Amino acid sequence: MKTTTVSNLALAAAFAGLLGGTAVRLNAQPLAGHTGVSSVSPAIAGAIADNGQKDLPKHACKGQNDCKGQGGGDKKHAGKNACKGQGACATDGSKPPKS
Amino acid sequence: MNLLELQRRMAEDVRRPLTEDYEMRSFADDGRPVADIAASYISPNSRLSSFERLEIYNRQYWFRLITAVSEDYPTLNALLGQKRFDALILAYLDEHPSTSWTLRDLGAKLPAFLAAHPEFAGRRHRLAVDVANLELAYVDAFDGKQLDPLTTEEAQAIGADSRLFLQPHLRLLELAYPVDNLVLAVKKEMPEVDIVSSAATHRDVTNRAKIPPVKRGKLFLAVHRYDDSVYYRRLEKETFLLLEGLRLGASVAAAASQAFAKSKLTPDAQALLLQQSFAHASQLGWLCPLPGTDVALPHLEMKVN
Repeated sequence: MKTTTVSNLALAAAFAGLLGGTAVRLNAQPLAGHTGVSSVSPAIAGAIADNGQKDLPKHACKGQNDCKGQGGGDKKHAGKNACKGQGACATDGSKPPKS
Repeated sequence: MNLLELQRRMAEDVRRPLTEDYEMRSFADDGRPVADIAASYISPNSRLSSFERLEIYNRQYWFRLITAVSEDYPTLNALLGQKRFDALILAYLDEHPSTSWTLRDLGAKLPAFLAAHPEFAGRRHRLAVDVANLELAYVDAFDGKQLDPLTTEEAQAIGADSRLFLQPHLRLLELAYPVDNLVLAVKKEMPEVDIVSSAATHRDVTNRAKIPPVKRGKLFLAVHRYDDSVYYRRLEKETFLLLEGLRLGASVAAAASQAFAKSKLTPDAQALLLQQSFAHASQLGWLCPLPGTDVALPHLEMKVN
């Protein structure tokens, strides 16, 4: 038998934990049509990092031609979401329409 | 100038770094006036010169990149302050320009860059590096690949010599500061619109989140995704070493041995912690079979003493 520096008892405990945790996860899986129901407690998962806002636009906007944060146009309109579609990014020097 | 030449010309001009004042440079690397270059292929109009029309694209290109990187590091931005953060991002992009079709990975080397350039962080360098590493881990956990975790049958086949694969979206961090609380505090304080940093737009920074005091203290952290949310889970040092060993390809027994090699825990406490570590890891779906294997991993029959 192979010698290890952790005791067999400890390894047995590890396998027990592995099997137990797997069983808990599989038994706790939400039913079809009920996805999104969290099946672990915060004590297990840890602290939620995104304030529970699952639909943040983060990353989704990358690579898209939104004006957001691009600083297009003059200094007043630079980087503002409001510049979108208002001509602040226009390269022909035209002015944004007055609201 | 044919179409290919025109495209290459404009690509070079648009990607030329800006001045420190975020304006288009007056001279190209070869010393030619950019105004002359712009006039060679862009017509002026009644309101803008060729230079000014080209400058719009030049600035937009860089502002887009700066924003893409900045939005991944809001706490680092708050920690360093706008001026230092802007300087860091510009220097970073100068050394690591965009080379990919996606902006997703543009900021991936920022923590390493910051670690190698302490001048951007001053006295808080190690803290800043920890924050950067955690914010990058968030990005990776946010959309990292997810594999099918172990099934019951696969778990039953695991033995001492088995090797496991960790979820690709799981990131393990060894930190000198408890920056998880710091990042959470900053995010909580910042309205969503402010999380999208705008280093290049000189926005009013009076609403920028304040950095709470943070004392040095070792932290082992798992950053992972569960049920489409990212979590920060604090780990015991031994659990961290165990998972890190598995990640590096060690067998279960070897990883456990390494994890407890310097531990002062009693054998009973070690067994309990091992059990809890594997239970939590498997419950959270962190443990996966090695890719390309069929469960039937070789394992050692254990004799329980």
